[in-house]
Amino acid sequence: MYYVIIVNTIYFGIMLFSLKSVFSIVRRKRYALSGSLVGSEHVPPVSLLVPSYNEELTIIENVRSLMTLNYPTYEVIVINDGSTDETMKVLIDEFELFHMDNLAVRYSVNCTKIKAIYHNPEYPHLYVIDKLNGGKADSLNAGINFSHYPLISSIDADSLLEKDSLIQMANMYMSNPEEYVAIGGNVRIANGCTIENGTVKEVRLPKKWWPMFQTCEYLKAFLGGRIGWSAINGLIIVSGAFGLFRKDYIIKVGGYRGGYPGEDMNIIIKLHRYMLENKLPYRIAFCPEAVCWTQAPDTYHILSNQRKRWGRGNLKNMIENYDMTFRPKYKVFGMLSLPYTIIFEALNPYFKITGLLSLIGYALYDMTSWNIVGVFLTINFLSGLLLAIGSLLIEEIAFKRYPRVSDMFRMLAFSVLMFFGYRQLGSLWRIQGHIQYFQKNNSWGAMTRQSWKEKSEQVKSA
Amino acid sequence: MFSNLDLAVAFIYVCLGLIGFGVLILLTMKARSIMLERKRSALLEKHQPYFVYLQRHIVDPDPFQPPKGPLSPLETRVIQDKLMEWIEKFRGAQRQKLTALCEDMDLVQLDRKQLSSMFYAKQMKAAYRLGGMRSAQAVEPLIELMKQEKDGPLLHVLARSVAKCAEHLDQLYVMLQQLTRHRKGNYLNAAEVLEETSLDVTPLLLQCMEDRDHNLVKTALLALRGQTGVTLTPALLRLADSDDKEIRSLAVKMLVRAGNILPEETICSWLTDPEGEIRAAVAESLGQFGYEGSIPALKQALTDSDWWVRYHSAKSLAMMGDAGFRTLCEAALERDDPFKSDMAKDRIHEELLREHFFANRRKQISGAHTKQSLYEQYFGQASSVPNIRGIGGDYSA
Repeated sequence: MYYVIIVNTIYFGIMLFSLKSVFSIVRRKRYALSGSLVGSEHVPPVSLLVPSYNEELTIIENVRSLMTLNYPTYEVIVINDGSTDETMKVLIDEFELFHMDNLAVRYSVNCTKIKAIYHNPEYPHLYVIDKLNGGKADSLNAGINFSHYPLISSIDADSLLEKDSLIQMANMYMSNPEEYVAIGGNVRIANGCTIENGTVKEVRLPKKWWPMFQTCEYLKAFLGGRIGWSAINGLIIVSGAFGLFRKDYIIKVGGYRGGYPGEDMNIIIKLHRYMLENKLPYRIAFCPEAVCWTQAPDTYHILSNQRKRWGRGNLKNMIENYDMTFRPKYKVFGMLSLPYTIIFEALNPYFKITGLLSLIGYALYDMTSWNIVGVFLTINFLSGLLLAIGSLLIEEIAFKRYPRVSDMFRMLAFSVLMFFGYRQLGSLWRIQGHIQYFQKNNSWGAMTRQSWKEKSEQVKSA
Repeated sequence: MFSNLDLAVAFIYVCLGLIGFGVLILLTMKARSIMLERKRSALLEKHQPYFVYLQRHIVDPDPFQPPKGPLSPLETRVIQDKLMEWIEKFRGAQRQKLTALCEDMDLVQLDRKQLSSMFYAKQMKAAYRLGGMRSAQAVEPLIELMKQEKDGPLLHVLARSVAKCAEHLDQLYVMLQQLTRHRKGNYLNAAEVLEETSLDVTPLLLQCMEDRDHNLVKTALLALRGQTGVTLTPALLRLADSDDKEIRSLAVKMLVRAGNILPEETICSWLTDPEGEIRAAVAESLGQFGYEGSIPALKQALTDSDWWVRYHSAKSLAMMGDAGFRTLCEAALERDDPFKSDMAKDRIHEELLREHFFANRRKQISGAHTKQSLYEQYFGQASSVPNIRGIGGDYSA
């Protein structure tokens, strides 16, 4: 009971912070971004790091899309993490890349030795690093070691950036370059959208159920949650799919931690720790107007693998950093973000299951009435639905990405449906992830990709 | 327990009420936004003949006539948005003519009033629109508001609008002072905002370089980047000795790039600055200027402890013609410092690749491989063959 009260209070509190911030986001979106910024020499240059493992189907379109961003100076560094498919070959063929020696790559942060670097002078801002398989974190570290610019941006190879996304982030960074150490982008689900030349041309909701559930889930997490956490400087994660970082601080904290998933959360925790321990003023923010479109898993098998991996990564991060909890030295992060993530995210399934089983047990032994069980479940459902509606409100106030009225009804319907199976599966996957962690099962799990072209054609023909 | 149950039931009712209210708001907002979009499209269609009139007479010397008849607030905003879009696209007399039309239609006056609104959102919208109309009438109220405003998004929008509308350099100076007074990191933003003005800001920047406020000095140095007048040299030499690391770095970069003939000892002293960032900046700038007198200093910098200094030194040497490339080859062969030779080898490789690639593109294979022949002088023909073969991809492409 008390658990439900506390968790809901925090959820609603964060949602209120999100709703409060949404108006300033609208203003920033409308009035603060100048068209001249795209051509300005004062915009700091950025190295885009694109770790890729078996991405032969999507990599070309993604790299082409990344090479046409509205941004004055940037380089694209694709890191082939020992792919077993034709990722490296398709890149070499498509961009006519040449092998380079690169004996003098510095190793500022730990990473597997770089096998080779490929480049074509015709694409002076594109580099491909070929290395042995070492995981996503290791690839990002290799990219950091090779990168030439003071800001780095990590981008998943299965994601597409909107043309103005990077400049939106840079605009935020430039408003306070001394304090912003990391800025997260807004990840949206591309399934169902029409994609042409690496750009989302028409926004539509996914046709399939699994991606549709994830669309509602992402809206809630990013708009209802991260905007609020960002407002109080308590963000615990910047999505690995799209984030901007100050390279000097990433190097100071030792780069990304390899060996486990959840490297995106880990780097943010390390940044919080470093800045707070050294008493440096800093901000880790979320920039919802900087949008990255990603392919969501559309089968049970792939989705469950992804969520188990997230569960493992989350647990590992919590075990590694529990010492920061409830210590005033770590401010909002130590007093609220981390305890919240441990108690109400990592351990959430256990509280849910034990709470529900106890209630059912009490009811079976006539220690309480079934009405109470019903009330408890209804509260759980309605408070969750209320939060989902809050996120939809933020979406409608600030972004209006889904133009049709029918989209609104579909999202409302799926926000309700989520409570009847999907969320319970989410808890199950998280527990399975924890079991895998203790079994020391550290595989990434199966992730199949589909070409953006095929996806788009399927949408058109549907 | 009963009281808890009552509380829980009450909470359910509250949730249900809020959900119903939320859904209602959502649907209303969606319907409103669709309706507004349709109205806007209809109004754009309605005023199409007026927009055609504006386009046809944009180069005429006579002023534009405002649209005939009374306009609803939404109509006024739709026309204003279109005018602002064009003002951004045009320059000179055409832009002024469109601005004058905004003034004649009282659009500037309307937004000036909104500047004093008690609502932050309205103030911000008005500041943005006044900047968009680029009317000089807006400068004073914008500056006044800047003086009262704390650091935040509105201050930045106001600054940009002042830059767009300013007619005199003093107005820009006040804007810069107001923008940079709150936070020392605002100079990057200030330099970027200055790009919006149509005035020649060089005299203002020279004045800022002499300012006691370090933020203004940094703003000026950033905004002057790319200017190469030797008139800047005395002030830059003074700033190159500043205690502030960033000022020193910016000043040194500018001095080198400005094409000043600098004594070798000065360059050497900058290349031994305690700050790696400054040494790297000097090494980078020397290449952009292409001053061959700095080759020995750059070769020495290849042994620097900072990777960036070595990287930029090698890159700069490669930009200094045959003499620079020869130095790179020598450095690659020397065994005293593996970091130096590795960096030199990498750069040589990249230069050969670039030369070979572009020579092939231009179909000037014979005689175009200057760096290749220099390379062969140092490493021999035999060593060049595996090197080129080692490069993947289709070389004949």
